[in-house]
Amino acid sequence: MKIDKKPAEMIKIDYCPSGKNWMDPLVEFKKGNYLYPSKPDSMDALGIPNPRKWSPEDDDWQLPENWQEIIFEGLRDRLDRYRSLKIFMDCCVRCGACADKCHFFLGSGDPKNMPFLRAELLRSIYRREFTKAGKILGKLAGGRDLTPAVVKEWFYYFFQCSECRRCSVFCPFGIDTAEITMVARELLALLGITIEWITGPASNCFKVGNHVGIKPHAFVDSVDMLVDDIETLTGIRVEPTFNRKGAEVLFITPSGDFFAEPGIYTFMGYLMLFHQIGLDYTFSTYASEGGNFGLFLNHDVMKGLNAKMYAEAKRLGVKWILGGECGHMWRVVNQYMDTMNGPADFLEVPVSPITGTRFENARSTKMVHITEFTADLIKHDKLVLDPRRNDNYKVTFHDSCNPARAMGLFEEPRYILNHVCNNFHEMPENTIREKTFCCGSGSGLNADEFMETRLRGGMPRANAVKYVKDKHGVNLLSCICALDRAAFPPLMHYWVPGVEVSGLHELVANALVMDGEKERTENLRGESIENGEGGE
Amino acid sequence: MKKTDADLIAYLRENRENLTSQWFERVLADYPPETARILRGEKDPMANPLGSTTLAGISGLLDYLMASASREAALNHLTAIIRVHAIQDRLPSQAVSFLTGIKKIVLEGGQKKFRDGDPFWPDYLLFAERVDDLILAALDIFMQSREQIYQLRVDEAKSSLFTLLQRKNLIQAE
Repeated sequence: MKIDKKPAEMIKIDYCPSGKNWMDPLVEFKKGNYLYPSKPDSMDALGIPNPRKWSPEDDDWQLPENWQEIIFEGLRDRLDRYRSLKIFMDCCVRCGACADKCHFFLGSGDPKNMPFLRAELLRSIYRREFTKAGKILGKLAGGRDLTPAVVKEWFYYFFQCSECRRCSVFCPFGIDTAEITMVARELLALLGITIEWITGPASNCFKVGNHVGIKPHAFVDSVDMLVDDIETLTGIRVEPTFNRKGAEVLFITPSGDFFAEPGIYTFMGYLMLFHQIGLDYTFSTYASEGGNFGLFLNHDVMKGLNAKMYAEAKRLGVKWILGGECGHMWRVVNQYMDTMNGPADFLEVPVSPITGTRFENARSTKMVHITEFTADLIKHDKLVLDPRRNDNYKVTFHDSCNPARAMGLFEEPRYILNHVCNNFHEMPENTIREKTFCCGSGSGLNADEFMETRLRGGMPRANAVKYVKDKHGVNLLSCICALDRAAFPPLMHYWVPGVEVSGLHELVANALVMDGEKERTENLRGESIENGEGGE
Repeated sequence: MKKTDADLIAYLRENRENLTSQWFERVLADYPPETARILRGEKDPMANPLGSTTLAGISGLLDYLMASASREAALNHLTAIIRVHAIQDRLPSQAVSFLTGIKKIVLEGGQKKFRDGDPFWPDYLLFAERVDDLILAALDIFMQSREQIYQLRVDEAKSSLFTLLQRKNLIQAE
């Protein structure tokens, strides 16, 4: 055999990925980098067209015959309806301010996860079809033809955007890239391209009342189990009510809070707090979900799920709604509720029955965030708190994206933390408050099949947690979002082992001195309280 | 450190800055140029976790290769880099290939010094052996990381199932 290469040439290894032009839409789907498509049943339930069985690994995605027309019509309709979208399509100058602000870019190094470039995947189609320059000059004007490969590329990248809006904070034009992702996902859904982790929960929520599909009697059973646990811990039997007409307040929280650890401890915290202050409240078994996966699918489903909460408030005749530690529920309520379903005129402007504080900020939505409510209680000395009961924790706080960037809710959680624990350490300034890094699993991406990509997207947040762990010995990451509480445990196990995850009201309840309670020797997790009141 | 290492170690220490930057560039070459520009330019570790982890990692590995740090410390740095590579859709070979880069950089930087037959050659062989040891360790770390990712996925799925069964009173909670 004749070998015409020198040994050094034969072993030459090319480590560099091929330098692809961004206009090339080819992406490779393999297990771990895509979310499972919607099942026909859940698509039917939500009226999503083209229900079928398919896989992103298939060559043929079984698009409707007139799929291009559907996309163009869908985009035209949205450009007409949303002035903001038209501006976002036209005004980006690709200055690059957002380029390195996306957690998925920072974790993957994939340039198409730079927010402006991800948006460009849609903009290029808009230019080609809707602008004169694009129609005439095509690629020269940054336009691309709409091909099946482009659709696949959209599915790949718009489901690597968690709609966290961190990039928008840095955009000099104020472009809300999350809304571009929302529109792109809506367009994909018009072709029947969406994921089961979104349509399954949204369909459950309509049919049963919550995303995880816990039926009313099982919801009551779940809460009863937690009531038993509280009694074991404190000697006090709290008595939540369900669907009670005439209650003053309807309390709505995400189903993650009564479904799994560590959310259940936060839920126990709510129950203990409400019992202690004697709040006249009730749960709805039909609005047993604060989350709104419609936000991640299309505006119709988002509107419907949001309306369900208000319909229940009306049916039960409550005065106002108190909302738990949820993320995107608050984005929907603060940014979209008013124009979708509001104003909620049939409710009253929320007034705390304990302090008399009138929550003017909620005068239109009639919905108060639990941390606003609790911070107000503390401010008015209505709670007896023993922060030493949390002394086994060195706590840091993750600003959950939606309460932070859609509500500006920065101070209340910190005010509470500073009263319920003695060891609270902030992560670096450019990773908190409005610049907070996403958990990497928001907007319906927290399915187990997507674990690898989630770990990638969560890397910048974990990096900041590692910083405070190394510097201050932090061992607890607290947050005010149920998705965070579900997404962070694996993220911490992989990147920062030794850091547990909690909600804020778990820590409140640990510190809360309840009337008639027995001596507290354990926290809500059953861990021994090292420096609790027993030490007095 | 064996006595024969001495000259090479001195050479590495003298050229540390240059070697670090060349090796860093070699790692950055695994990324598209638009990304490499950001990973190279942003110095704040919070704003650039990939770049800062990589730079700190190879700097720590160089300490070990020039006999200024323990193997244990080197493995910690290696772990930090490989765990990132393990979630970046890389083949095992792609995840560890950057380690081979330092051999080439040292060889080319040393020019004639490290050719077969030259006085430094035995030193270089020892150096290369240490790099090979790191490559093998990196493969182990890569596999452990990948296994952990699958385990996390299984745990998450099992935990949901457990809760559901418990709710249905089909199993007794511990």
